[in-house]
Amino acid sequence: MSDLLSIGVSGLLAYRKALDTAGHNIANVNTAGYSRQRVELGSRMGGPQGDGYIGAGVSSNTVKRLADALVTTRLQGDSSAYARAETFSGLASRVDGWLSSPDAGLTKPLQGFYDALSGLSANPTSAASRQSLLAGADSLSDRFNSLQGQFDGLESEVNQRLTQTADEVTRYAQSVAELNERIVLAKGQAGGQPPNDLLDQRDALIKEIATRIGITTTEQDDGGINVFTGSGQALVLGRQANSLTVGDDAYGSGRKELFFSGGQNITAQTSGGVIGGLLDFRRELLDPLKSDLGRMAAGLAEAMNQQHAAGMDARGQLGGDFFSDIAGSVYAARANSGTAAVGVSLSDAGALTGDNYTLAYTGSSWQLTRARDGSSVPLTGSGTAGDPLQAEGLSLVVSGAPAAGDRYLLKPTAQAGSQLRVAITDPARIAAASPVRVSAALSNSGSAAIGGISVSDPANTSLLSGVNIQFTSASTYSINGAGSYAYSAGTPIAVNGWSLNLNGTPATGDSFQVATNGANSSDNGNARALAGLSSRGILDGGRSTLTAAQSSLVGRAGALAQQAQLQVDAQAAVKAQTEAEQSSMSGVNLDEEAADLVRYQQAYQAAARVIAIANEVFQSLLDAARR
Amino acid sequence: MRVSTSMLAQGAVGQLQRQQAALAKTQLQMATGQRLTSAADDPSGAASAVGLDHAQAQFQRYQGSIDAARHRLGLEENVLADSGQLLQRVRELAIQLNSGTQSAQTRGVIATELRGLREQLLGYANSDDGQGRYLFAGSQDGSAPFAGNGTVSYAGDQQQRLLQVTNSRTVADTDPGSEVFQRLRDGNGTFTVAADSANTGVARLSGARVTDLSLWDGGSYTLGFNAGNYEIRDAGNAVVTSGAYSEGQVLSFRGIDLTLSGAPADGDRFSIGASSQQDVFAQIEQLARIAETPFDTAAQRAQNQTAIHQSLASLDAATLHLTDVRAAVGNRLAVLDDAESQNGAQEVEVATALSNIRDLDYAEAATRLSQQLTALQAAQQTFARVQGLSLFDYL
Repeated sequence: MSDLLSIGVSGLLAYRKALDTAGHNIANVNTAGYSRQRVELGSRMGGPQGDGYIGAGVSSNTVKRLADALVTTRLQGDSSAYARAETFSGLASRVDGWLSSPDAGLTKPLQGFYDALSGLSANPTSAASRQSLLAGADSLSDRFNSLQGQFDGLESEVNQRLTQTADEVTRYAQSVAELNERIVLAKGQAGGQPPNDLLDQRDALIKEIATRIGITTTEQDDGGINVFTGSGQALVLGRQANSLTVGDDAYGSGRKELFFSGGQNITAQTSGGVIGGLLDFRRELLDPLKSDLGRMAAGLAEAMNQQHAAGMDARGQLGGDFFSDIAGSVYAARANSGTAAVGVSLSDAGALTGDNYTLAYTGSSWQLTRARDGSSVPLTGSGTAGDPLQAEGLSLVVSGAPAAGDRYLLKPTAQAGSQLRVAITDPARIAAASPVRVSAALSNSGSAAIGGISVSDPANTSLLSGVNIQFTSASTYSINGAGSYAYSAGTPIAVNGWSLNLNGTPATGDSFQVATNGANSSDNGNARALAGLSSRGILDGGRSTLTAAQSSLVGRAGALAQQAQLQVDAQAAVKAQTEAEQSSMSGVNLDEEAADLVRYQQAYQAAARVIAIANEVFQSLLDAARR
Repeated sequence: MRVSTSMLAQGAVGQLQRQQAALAKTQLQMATGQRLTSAADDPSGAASAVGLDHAQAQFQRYQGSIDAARHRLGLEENVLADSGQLLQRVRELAIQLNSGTQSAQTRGVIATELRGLREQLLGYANSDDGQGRYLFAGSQDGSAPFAGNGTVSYAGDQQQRLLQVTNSRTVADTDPGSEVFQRLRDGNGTFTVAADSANTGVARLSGARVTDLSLWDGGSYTLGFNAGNYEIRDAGNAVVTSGAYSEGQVLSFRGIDLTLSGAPADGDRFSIGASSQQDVFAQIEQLARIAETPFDTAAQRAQNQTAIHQSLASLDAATLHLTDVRAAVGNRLAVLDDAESQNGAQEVEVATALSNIRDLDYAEAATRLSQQLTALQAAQQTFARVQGLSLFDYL
């Protein structure tokens, strides 16, 4: 009866394995990435006998890992998408928080600045209102500077995280390559039986890579897995791993880009994962916000300076720059062979687009290309200081000799927010008054009254010269006693860069004197014009006020943050669904294992009983023979 | 569907975390009273809130300008009212002077009072706004605009400060002193009449008016009497008109009418000329000087009465001018009131719109809070119950 004995032994061995596996499952109930295992039992067939086949017991064919390669692959993709959305959303909500916070955003300092301008208009000579305008302008420029600082800080954080994440991807790729080698080896040693726990480890590592960068995988016949980036570069090829590195862009502009194995720049083709989220955030939100913030700063400085120059300060001098001048940033490509340097000044804030450009020299001419979409931008001028290259509010002056193929990256407003500074410190230098005033001689007998005087050209060198307009008849006048000019009611008299409106009919001999307002004038003509900037279109060709630009800044950050949050929620749901699917297939259920333990234990005990029966049967035979 | 043990725990924990996040948000909203915690909650709403905030701040700025303008215009109106009363007193004194019952001594008292009134008016014209800025100095309001004993000089200019009080309206917050006190003319504003100091008759001016301004050429004319006839000659000594004169007759030429009362003597002359600029201080000074001239003879009295007649005409014009300026100030104050109510109404609209975008509906939030609390509590209890179940407990 050795057959029954071996059948019983086969049961003991098989259920021992099954109990071990259930124990292994229970032990790994909380191990991340663990896939439950199951001993696959098969009946052993006996030899042929006259009356048919009697079975030879049970055998365990293999220890099966319950995992679905398709679900695993899908989970990798979902993890990539979720990590991208979460990274983007985390950064976007920080920017959104800064811009929409009443304490950190632009709203309060901008209102404070406008309040101070309005206060100056009501009280142009008051030292307090002049001082509070300087304080308001200071806190406004500080806020621009600090927002720009926060954006710059975020950019360097993005750079750091890119570097760190690329390093992690490289390390994980090496580990996957090592595991590939061990798996192929282990599979060979075990006669083709799968090394289940190594496979789990490898899947977990590949998932780690997928949360960092979008990948595709292909499984090899020998058990190895190849990992490719979205652009098709092989991160892992069998037992060989390649590196992902981060380095400076071609212009040394401080921007970090992604390189494959230290060579090819794959920034533009990379998507998904933390790296994809960082790159998307930089491209879709950070760059436009920096440019728009800079554009607001440039618009504010230009409009304020222009109007300020058309006024007269408390010392009786024409207004100088209120804010210091803002210049664009230029980065020459490292590969340039010429010696030319390019200077970018912002000549017309209303025409600025907020885009970045590349300027290339063909050997005979300059070509300007929009960096965002590669479209060509028409240029006028020759590039000399007298005739600068001009396009979209930019004025470019080239010095030195360019070589054919030289390229420059222009970021006209990306750093402008940090350049906004109040140029005056002396409250008396605030130009609140109009530079000129007009008076009608008291002896005038006509009905002509002053309708107002405005400065049309503050640069006119004779602006401040006194002018006497004497009417030689109701329709003619002389200027400073000379000449005879026709006067018609309703047409302003324009001399020396100012223009004077009269209402009514002058009488012969009536005279009007135009003179400079001089020092300490409490005229508020220019202060009122400065205060009017709050509702004047400054950007986008005069269509957008600063408030509108700020509102679109807040709206853009808010919309992207909202959209990103929605994506996070959507991706989280998709990922959770796939995880549930995977867990449903591969996760350990303790109740199930408990039931299996009971089941396998009973089977083991029964098998042991079979051996005892075999023994008893054999004993019966022996007892029969002894007799 | 098969459920794994770790998934059960992770799923439940994930749910708890989501509910706690929602609860935290509701808590923040309840604590701040704001529906929007950042622009991401409602990007388009937040963007329009930026514009509305700007509009609201703009209305507050306009209100600041309205208050400043109202303060100054109120002060100006007071000064103009006081000045008008002062001119009334001047007019009373001029009429007393004209009555002919005054002695040299009482005329001296009148002259002294007139000079005092002139000083007082100068003080009015040099009023400041309580912050050291002179009301009637144009843009040169750092120093007193009017100065001088005999002739008053004006150191201000003719600038007006305009304050923006609505999106479209500006209001001047004062008037230049030159336009209030100086842009006046002597005589009746068109021409002056003066009796020759050598006149011996008792004819005095009792009426001088313009009938047709287009005929008046602004020239100088002389009215002379001789042997019951009058003749009016122009500056070139050519006779313009002449005829027999009877007392009280209206003499018309060049679009003006003159009426004299009292009989002129032969050789008496009156000169007629175009009005020239004369400020209100000079008008009072002129009256004071008349009070100091002798009234001894009937001829002197007649000459002075002609001068007083002219002074009264110009004083009346000055009073009327001050009244006009005061009315214009009143109009501007009315514009300020109107601007204030217009801004106020618009500000309420803006505030309502802002509140709709930003403010929390507490009833809705409170309901949401209690729902979230219930859900969280239920999730926690469910978690505890489900996690407590294990087949191992029965083995």
